[in-house]
Amino acid sequence: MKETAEFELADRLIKQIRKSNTGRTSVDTEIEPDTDLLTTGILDSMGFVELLILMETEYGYKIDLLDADPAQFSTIKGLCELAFKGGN
Amino acid sequence: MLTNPVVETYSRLAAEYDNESNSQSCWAYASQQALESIVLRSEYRLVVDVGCGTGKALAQLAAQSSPAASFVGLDPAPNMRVVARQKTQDFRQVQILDGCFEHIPLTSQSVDYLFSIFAFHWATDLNRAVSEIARVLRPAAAMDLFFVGRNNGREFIQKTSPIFLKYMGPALFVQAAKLRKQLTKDEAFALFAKYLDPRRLLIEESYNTYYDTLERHLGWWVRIEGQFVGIPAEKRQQCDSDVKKAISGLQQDRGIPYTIHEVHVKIGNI
Repeated sequence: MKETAEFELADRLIKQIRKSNTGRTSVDTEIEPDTDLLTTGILDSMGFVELLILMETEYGYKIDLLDADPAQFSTIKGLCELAFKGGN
Repeated sequence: MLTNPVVETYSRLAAEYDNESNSQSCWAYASQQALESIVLRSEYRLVVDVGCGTGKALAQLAAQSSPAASFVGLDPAPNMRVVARQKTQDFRQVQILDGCFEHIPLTSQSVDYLFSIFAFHWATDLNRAVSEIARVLRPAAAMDLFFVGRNNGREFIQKTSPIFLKYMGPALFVQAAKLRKQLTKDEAFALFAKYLDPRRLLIEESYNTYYDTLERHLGWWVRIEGQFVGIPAEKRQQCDSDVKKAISGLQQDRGIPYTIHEVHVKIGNI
């Protein structure tokens, strides 16, 4: 059940990133759940802020950043794990 | 008490802000280009520079303006104001005050011309900032705001963001990003049109790539230092070393590229 919800959230986030203008220089980069969004240039730090706001306000998932590992934080898969770790 | 790390850092580094390396950087060049595009009209009585920093632009404009014009420079960083007062001391018509976009210490509808060069992206509350600008401008006032746009510095950002994330951790990384308000051209229009007559607004943007050496690029680091104060002191040296290595990896025949995305919000004269 949790895996399904994580998968659905990941799918929504990937679609959102593709739709957004942020990372326009890397629009051709394929986004997979474990793609590093920073090193590929798909998102910058402000793009992450926008994504976190979207996760919280639109989808209702709040991430505890103090509890997050940098490597985990920079992929969709990691962000989804963190979202569900918070008891969302 | 100061609580904004950007303001605190600008104040701390005020004495070295106009040093040679920053003064010869791509940002200094872009700032000078913006300044040279400003044309002061003889009927202006009050000209305001928000985020005046060391007062360089004010001194240059005051030197070539009519004696009837008064200039006010606003900056929230105390030591920047000290330097700005020294730099403009020969011009009695220049006054340097404590202020920022969100708190402009001037009466409503008193300003004939308001300008700002690469400061607006440090505003902490965009709506309040633009509403303050709208409050102090005379109905027929003109304005030029030059600020850093959403897609600024892509080359460096892609290389350095993973490093900053590593050394800052996600919480500080996000906190640092929130200190900047970099707008797209469309976002800028939507924001300013809420408070100012959209028929008089003109929003332009430009992308200019500057090629330089690593040392000269690092010369303008003083401008963004405020975002890195959260990096633990014991990690800072290694972080700096990793950042330099990453930026060096961008080297091309012409130098290391850095693209400035500038947004220019203009209200022309009637």
